Amino acid sequence: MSLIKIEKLKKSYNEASGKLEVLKGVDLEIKQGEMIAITGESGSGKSTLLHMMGMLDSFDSGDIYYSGKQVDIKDNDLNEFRNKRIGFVFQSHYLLEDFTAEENVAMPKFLSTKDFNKSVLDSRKLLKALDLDDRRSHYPNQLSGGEQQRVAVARSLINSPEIIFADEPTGNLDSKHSDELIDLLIDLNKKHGHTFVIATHSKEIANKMDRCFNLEDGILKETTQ
Amino acid sequence: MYTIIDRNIRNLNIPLMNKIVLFFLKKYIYSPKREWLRFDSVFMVIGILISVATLTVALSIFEGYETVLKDTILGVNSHIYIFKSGEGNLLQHNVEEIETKLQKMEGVENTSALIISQAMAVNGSRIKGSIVRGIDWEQTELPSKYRKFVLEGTWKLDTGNSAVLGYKLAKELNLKLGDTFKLISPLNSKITPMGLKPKEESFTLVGLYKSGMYEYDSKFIFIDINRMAEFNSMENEFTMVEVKMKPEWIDRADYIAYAWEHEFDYKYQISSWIDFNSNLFALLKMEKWVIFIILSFLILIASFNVVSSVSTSIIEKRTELGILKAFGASDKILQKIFVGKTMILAFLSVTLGQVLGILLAKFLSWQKFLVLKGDVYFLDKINVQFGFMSWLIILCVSMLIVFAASLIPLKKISKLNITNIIRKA
Repeated sequence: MSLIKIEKLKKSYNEASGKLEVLKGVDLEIKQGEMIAITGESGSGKSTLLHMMGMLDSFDSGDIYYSGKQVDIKDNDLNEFRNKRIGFVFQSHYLLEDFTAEENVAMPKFLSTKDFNKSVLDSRKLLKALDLDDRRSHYPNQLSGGEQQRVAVARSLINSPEIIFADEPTGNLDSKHSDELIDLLIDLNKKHGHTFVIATHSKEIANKMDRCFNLEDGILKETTQ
Repeated sequence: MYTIIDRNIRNLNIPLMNKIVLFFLKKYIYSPKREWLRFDSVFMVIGILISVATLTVALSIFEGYETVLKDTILGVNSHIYIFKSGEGNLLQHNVEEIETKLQKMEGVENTSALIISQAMAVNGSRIKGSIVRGIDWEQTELPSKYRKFVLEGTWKLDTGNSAVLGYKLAKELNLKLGDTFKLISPLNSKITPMGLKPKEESFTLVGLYKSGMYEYDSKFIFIDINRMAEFNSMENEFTMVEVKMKPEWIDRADYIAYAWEHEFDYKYQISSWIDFNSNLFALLKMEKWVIFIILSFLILIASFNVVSSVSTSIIEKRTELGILKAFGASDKILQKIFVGKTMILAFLSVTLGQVLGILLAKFLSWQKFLVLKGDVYFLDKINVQFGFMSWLIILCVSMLIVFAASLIPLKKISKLNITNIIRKA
């Protein structure tokens, strides 16, 4: 059974110039442990698709299934669902400024367990694994761009989610840090079997993934070589 | 507005606090950025502080006035008064019967018989109508606080025609300690060949009496009860028996008076301080709460700053809110955090406002340039008192108003669109 299955997903925006159809019936099936890349030009709808798959945004029509069960944006337990089953990494790190690195990483776990000490202990383990042990007490503005993004990756992993959506995770990084981050994600996938869906402009990054898709004119096409 | 508040209260699912909310509130308090020192937060605090301080000053003055007035009235008059029913005065055997019976009554502290009459006090060309009280000043424990209120001279009325006067009366008659004045009683006039001649006697001023209540200080003259009996030709007669009750019985004096009338087979007319002053105290109480309600509108106006401050804070924190929502924080949790932050500031503001109010009220009672008109307000000094109940009521009402105001902008949190926030940030 697929981990996530999308059928005929449509999304449009009402703009001054008229209705803009961003997704015109997207179908996608992702299996556990896969690394998927979604490429496309700016404004092609990559982020929109990721946000809808991650249940952050509503869609006009179509269906999304997680492990065979249909999920709707209006579900009452959607917060809990997102917290426990989905991880996010964004182009910007979006770490909370008033919290240290370890507190930021611990946050999703703390929100679900309400046990701060246990969440921080898990957070420390994760930061150690990502080679950020000595930075755990630093605030986001005391970290480099690469470190900030690695902390954001750690935060997305803290609840051991089934799938992690990364929206242009290397968008704000230089090529060295960009390579390091992608290698880290691939390493996590290989060692722990995490499933990743990565939206990216970069063909180079896309080619490192198990499967690649291109989003153009609202249609998603597989381009795996 | 009501619907929004009502809906938000239901969403908050009181009791409010959980570990996540407390964690965020702790972060907020100890945040190195001192978020609570933001411009809008400071103005919110100042608004609440000033309105609470004003309310506290007003209630302190009302409460102080009420308490001092009650103390003064009870200090001068005691608690229960026993007169003869119908015409005439109490006779010696009546007083003995009353005092013997009252000694066995629960709640009675002490009793004293006295004679009261009206007379004219004359010093040269100055004439003032006065109330003359013939008292058994040698009695160690009088029901009224006579000895305590004699602030100048002596309270002893042992030398001939000595008298203690209210200090205002003495001032109006231009009398100093040691001066003599005349008491004229038209009620005890004698028929002479020249016509009716009012009873007239000279007295020496030996002490000045100051209760703080204008009406008493400008009218009362105290003389020895035996001299009073002679002056009024009332040998072995008394106007009434005063009774002082134990403190815990004072507020039930009207019921006790009613019960005693039955106890004495309705031979005596028994009244209490409540019968004479209940309207005054009911009016004071009503005025106090009317002022409270009116001044509570100041807090309501200050709460507009709360709406504005919470709204600004939500807009400023929208990225963090969006991220927390993306990672599974519910709207309820986020709303509770904002309410919690507001309530911490509100509690501080209300407490500081109460402290400031008490200090201002103390200053008003201490200063000398602003005094009350004694002939209008009974007391000529501003007295303040701030009881636990007033503190609690101001705190609860203020916190409730701020709480309701903080709920209004919370709807913005549930309307935050995570994807819009992430894209715009």
